[in-house]
Amino acid sequence: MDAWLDSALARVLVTLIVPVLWGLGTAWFFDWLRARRARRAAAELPHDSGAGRGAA
Amino acid sequence: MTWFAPSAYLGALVLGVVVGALTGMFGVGGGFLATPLLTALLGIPMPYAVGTSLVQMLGTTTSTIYCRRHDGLIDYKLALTLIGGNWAGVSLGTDTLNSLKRMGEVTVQGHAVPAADFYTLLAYVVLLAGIAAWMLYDTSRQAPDLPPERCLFARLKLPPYTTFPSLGGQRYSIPVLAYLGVLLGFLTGLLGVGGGVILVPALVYLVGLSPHKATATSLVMVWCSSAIAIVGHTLAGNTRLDLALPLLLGGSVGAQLGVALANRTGGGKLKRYFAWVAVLAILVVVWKLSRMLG
Repeated sequence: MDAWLDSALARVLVTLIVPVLWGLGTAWFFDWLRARRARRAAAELPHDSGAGRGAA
Repeated sequence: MTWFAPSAYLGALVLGVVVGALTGMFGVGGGFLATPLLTALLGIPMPYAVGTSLVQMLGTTTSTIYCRRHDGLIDYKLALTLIGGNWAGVSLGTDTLNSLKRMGEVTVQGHAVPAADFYTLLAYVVLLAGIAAWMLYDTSRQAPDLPPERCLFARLKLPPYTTFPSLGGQRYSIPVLAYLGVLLGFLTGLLGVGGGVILVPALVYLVGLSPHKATATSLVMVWCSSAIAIVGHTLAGNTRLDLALPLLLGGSVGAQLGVALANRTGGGKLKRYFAWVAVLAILVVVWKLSRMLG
């Protein structure tokens, strides 16, 4: 196992996989953060949108 | 593995924030800034700087492609055609950098300097000057609205040809597009730049793609290009994950700041700022070169 981890193939795979996982992880995290903010904003202003429609 | 000084990791984190902010503001990978600044400001040898910023670029483009996966703007067939030539260019660029690394030191004006650092920093001065000049020129004029059939690449006759879904029925020469891929791949392998900063204007003005589609398509090419280059550079011992991680961390935070800043600034102003960032990077690289020689 140690010999495989020291091999060129393992080094290449780790160097390729780490940034890809990082990119996917951060993109997912910031997506989730934005969605949570949007949900909270929507929950705080339920009456405003209804009032607008009623007036029209 | 020998570790760098703690200040190098801290510097990489700060540089990551700055480059990430530029990525968020201008939609570029940032390799053309991260690589020379890693060498010029933090003293990282150029082969490590190239390999490391490629790792950072792979992370950044993965994130951006994931965020834009539902846009429907990516022309995969065009990206694949460019990648065909890109593969060869990346190998050529990586081999050139490794040859410079093996050269060791060269004597310039009586001073022995590392060949890889000296020649690649010189190449960066030319590249950054070209980018800055183009951006300043582009902001000072009305952008021409060229239909695909009037663009240079549509008029070049070198068979075989193909058509692309995002470019209507216009025929394009496959070898010509592949040669563009070779050139960009060479820059990726040698200098650690993804090539997006050159590919996007090339796709808009030479191929006739809309700016939004050009940006999205270039992301796929930059992703493949950096992945291919990482293989070669890792085998040559040029990639450093320990240095790439602070760059990635800073870059993720910086990109969010950059997006927020870009939303408050107009497009014309953004391009001018971009040009001045490139000018600033030239000054830093020239300062580094003068220190190497003095």
